[in-house]
Amino acid sequence: MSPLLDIRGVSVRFGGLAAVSDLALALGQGEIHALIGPNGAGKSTVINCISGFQPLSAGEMRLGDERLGQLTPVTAARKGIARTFQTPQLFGRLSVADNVRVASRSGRTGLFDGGELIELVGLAGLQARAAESLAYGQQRLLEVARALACAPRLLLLDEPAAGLAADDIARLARLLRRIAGELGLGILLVEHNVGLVKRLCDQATVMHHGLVIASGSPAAVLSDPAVVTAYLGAQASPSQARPC
Amino acid sequence: MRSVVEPLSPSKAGAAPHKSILARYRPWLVALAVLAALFAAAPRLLSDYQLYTLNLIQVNILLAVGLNLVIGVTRQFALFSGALLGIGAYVAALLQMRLGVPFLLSLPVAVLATMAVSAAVSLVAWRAGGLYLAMITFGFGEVFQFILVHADAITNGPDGLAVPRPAFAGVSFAAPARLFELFLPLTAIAVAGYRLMETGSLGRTMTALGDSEIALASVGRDPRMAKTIAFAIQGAYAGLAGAMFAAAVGFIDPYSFGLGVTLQQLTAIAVGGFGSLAGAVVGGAVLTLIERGVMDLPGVREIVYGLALLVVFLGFPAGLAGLFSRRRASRPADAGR
Repeated sequence: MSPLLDIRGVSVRFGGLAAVSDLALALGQGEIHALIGPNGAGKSTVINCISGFQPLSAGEMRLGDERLGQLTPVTAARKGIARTFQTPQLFGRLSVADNVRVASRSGRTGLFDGGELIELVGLAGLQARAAESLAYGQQRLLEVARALACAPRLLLLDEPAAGLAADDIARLARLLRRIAGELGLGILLVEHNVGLVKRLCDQATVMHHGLVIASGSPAAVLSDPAVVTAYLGAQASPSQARPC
Repeated sequence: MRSVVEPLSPSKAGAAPHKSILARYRPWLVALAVLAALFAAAPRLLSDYQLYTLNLIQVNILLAVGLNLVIGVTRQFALFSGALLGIGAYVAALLQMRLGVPFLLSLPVAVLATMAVSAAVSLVAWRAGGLYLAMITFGFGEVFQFILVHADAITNGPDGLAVPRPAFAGVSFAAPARLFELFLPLTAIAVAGYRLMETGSLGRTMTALGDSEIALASVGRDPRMAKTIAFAIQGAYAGLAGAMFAAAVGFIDPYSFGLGVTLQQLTAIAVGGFGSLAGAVVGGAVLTLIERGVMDLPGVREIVYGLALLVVFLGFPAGLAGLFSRRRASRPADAGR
């Protein structure tokens, strides 16, 4: 069976800088895939390319049978790609409930309704609060709820656990595992929390200076000597390291 | 594959508890009662000059409401309210004068024409934002004024046009009281329509556009289309205001529709509170009263506007609407909400 997301030979250049070089990545339905690497490795650029915010310089991307790569963000979203941002991008003056409402598609049925999504990410009781008044971690959780409200086939999360307390991270991990398992949603997440990556993800790809330096199961790639040197630091134990 | 989400139902997601029908519609009923009282009493109790001022207040309220949507809500810094007002005024006036179209029929045409122009200008906002959009729309206003001055054959140039007093089916609306009776329902419907828009799906999209264009795009809603709709709505309100202005004043010239009008409206929505409908209504009314009050004192108007902006931005940046809601929120009865 062909993967949900298939990326082959993708490169992105900003003038003379190669932000991403010859990236290959496959993500199946129901799979959670981590994209990790030090700051500036090109992870967010990959997210931007898939979601239509950044055109490709070379290569090909497919979502199922559909070609991506030259889509606008709006078209990509309508094809079933939802995302969060490295810096939360909420509709600050709208309430928590309205943030989710703006993203909701009418006429679709599914596992959760928007109110349940808000509860599932741990924001129950805050529906009427203005999004801009939420704490940073809550804003991240609301972004996840809003992205899920788009009823996506592919969910792209850019550092979803940054700024979250341990309880919130555990709740988020349970939610992501549930939606991937029950709905067959593919999830690609950029994340620096190595513990979360090991616990949650089925596959991991490590990038460094725009290049893929390792790919495979999280346990395998995080013990790869090249990854330890480039990302975790040669002296650090992978289980302890948590770069920011 | 199943979808992850069902549409958010208001009953589940909204925080507002269930209210009785009377409580739910109380603000509308109160507004309706006030308007009915105003409609019945004002023509009998007020002088022609006062009614004339009330008519101008309504013009400025409509203009402020439209500008507030584009600048206060969607945060598109477009500075061509004066030109839009002028398009509405000239289209309505020329239709009546050159083609003999009755005033009441010239109104919707003026609204549609101004909507179309404003929507066309929104194409600029698809690419340009911030200062660039401000400068481009300012330029549009200047070019529009230039055309009005130099297209003598149509507009009578800088000498302006004496607009015929509205009449329809043999009924004359020349007196300020009759115009007031005509304008008040129009203004009320327009403001109520805005309120319905602002509290619905389109209103949410407009606010979302102002907060984060990229987030709006990321959920599959086209920010460019949202901008065009916002500009078109502003055009509709300005077109209606323009046609009413021409009828109320009875004379229009190119200099009535310059940057000064735009800056006045900008001051109105700043004083009222950016993004707030109530603020736009109050700001439009207050600024009209200030203008009428100091119209015989050259230069004083600009000083008053400047001082008003200083006081607002230094003292209560959310404007009069923000001040009111802050006071209401601090009342003990509301503390537990």
